[in-house]
Amino acid sequence: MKAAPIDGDENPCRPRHFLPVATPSAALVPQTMALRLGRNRLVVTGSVFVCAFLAIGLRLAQVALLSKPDAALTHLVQPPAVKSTEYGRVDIVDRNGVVLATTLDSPSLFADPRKITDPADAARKIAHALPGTSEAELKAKLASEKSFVWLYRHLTPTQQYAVNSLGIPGVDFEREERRIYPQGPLAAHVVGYSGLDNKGLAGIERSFDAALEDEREPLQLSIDIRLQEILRQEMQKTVADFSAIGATGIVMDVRSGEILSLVSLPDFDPNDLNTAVPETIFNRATLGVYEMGSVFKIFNTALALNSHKSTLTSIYDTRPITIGRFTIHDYHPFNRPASVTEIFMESSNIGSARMVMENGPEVQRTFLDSLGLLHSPAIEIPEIGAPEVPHPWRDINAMTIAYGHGLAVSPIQTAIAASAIVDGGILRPATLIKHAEGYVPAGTRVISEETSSEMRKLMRLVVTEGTGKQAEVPGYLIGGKTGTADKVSAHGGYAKKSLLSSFIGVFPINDPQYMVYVIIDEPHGTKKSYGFATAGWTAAPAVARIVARMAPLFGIKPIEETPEIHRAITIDLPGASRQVAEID
Amino acid sequence: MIRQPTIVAFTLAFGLGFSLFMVKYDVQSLEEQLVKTERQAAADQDAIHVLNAEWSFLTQPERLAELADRHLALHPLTANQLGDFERLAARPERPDGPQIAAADKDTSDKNATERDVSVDSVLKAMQLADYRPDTGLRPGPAKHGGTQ
Repeated sequence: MKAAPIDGDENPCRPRHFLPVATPSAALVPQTMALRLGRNRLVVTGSVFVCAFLAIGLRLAQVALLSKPDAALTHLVQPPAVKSTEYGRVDIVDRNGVVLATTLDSPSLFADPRKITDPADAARKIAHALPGTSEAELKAKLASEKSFVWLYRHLTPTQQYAVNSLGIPGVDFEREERRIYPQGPLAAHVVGYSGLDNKGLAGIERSFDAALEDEREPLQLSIDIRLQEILRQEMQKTVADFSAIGATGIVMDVRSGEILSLVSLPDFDPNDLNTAVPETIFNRATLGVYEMGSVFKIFNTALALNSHKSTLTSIYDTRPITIGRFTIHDYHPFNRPASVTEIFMESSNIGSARMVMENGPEVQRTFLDSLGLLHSPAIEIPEIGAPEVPHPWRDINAMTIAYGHGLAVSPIQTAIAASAIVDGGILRPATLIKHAEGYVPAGTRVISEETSSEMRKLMRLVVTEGTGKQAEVPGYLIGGKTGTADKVSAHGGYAKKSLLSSFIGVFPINDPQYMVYVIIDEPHGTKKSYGFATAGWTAAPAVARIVARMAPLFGIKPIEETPEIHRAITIDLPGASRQVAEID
Repeated sequence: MIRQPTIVAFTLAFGLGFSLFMVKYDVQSLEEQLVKTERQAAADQDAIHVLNAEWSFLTQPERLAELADRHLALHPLTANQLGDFERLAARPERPDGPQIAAADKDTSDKNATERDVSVDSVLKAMQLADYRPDTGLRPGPAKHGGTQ
């Protein structure tokens, strides 16, 4: 756009830039210089910018395309994850994963009384929608001056719907959690229960209160709910049949010490604590202590054999023993001297008392202590009864304790001690928490392997020949011991008519795996039992039914009694007054 | 007159801007989807939690026994129903025995072979599963010969 140079043009109207360009002259040099300078500056600035943008671009490319994302930073850019409802307390499940206790949402109803316009009307409507609430009580709450009152805790969905549809302003729901026990009363005494604020108040719920709050994984118990049902049903049947006041049963894995089932009757529904009374909440299996009666002869005989003071063939006088005002009698009198085998088989009190006196009270006391019978057992629920141990421990105590009177222990500790006797003589801790498959906890030896084997033979003999014949289940080689104890009456002394009948069954006796222990509190004889309420007629048949039902469930095949097994579990008594080992 | 580099620069800027927005919106929608999926997963987990409780409630052994009693012709397993292969009688030497021959003369051979094959395969499967490899039941080669 160069204007043509016009010489001498002085027209002032000409636009400035049409000023004739002067021919290159010395005056123009500074102008060109300035232009160059300007251009250079632009180029420099521009290149600086280009470099900067290039650097940024390269860095961007490097960050976005080449480098790997930094793990520490990725979580910053992620949107906050939506979490599933955090339940405060984890589930309690049985050994097969069946839910025994879980936490579910359950809304609670509250009101702001200041917003309630007509308390009387609101109270009437709510009382109608929630059966079990008192209208007067609700009215008092709604008419109060507070700004927050609970009206009803833990509504069911139907109740919530009913209250919601009333449309009363000023009442609202608060999301709360509630412990639910889907199996109802089935494992109530083991699982326990928790209160309104989900604080464990009994059983596992209480002893694992803190753990249940913190853990993420459900707590798995050793209990098998199917077995629990079998045990409970059979116990209920027995209680009903013999009009007993209660019963308790324990099934235990002898080797691992796991309690597979624990029932205490009468029981309660932990979902409905309003109907629970102290009698039903009372855990007979762990909290109750009883004089166990003749099942204690298991320990007494084990002591006699283990100390080598007696052998299976040792003969004892069985004439009644009188000490002071007290006489020891037999339920099935022998009227002749009897061997240790016979004393155990026919459950002779006199013979047992004579046997223990060979060792004396102090040895007996130490032995029972080593079996854990003189102090509270260690098991994972807080309802533990301390044994009632006589003090001082005189001869007379020793003699009565020999046949299970004068020392009150809980069923669970009796079961633990008896499992040690049959399981090779090693006392292992019992547990309500599932062990890993095949785990056998370390234990302490209480009797020799040989004594344990002899005890198993004796216990088999009780079932084949002795007082526990009704516990026999073909194919399962049950061994056991009956126990019929006179209960201490309320007036002191023993009440003749109120019994505690029990049976400890172990099977298969050639290789003990399971123990079934049943105790029936105050059974009464029936026509079917010919009026008997003793263990052989009440507890032993119950154990037989339980074993017959649980064995197929656990896939235990019936054992054919081969000659080897027969030899291993029977006692050969040459020259004894009676061939007790006869089976076939 | 616009110079070529300017055009290129502008095109690039617009292109990049556009694709940047596209990516941004993509990411946004993906994030929404993620939140939605996570919310769904959480809801499902809650539902599973409730359903587990309900399952436990509905499978109470007592209730199952009652239902089985009412709807099934099944009874609890008893000990005499349990057994193992050792207790089974030995397989007869020749499967085309008198009973089968009497029942159907023409097809007896074929039937026998088919039946035999199925028993064999079951036994083989059990042996493969390490089910007592040394039972007396295993059909030996000599016995096998009889069927062909």
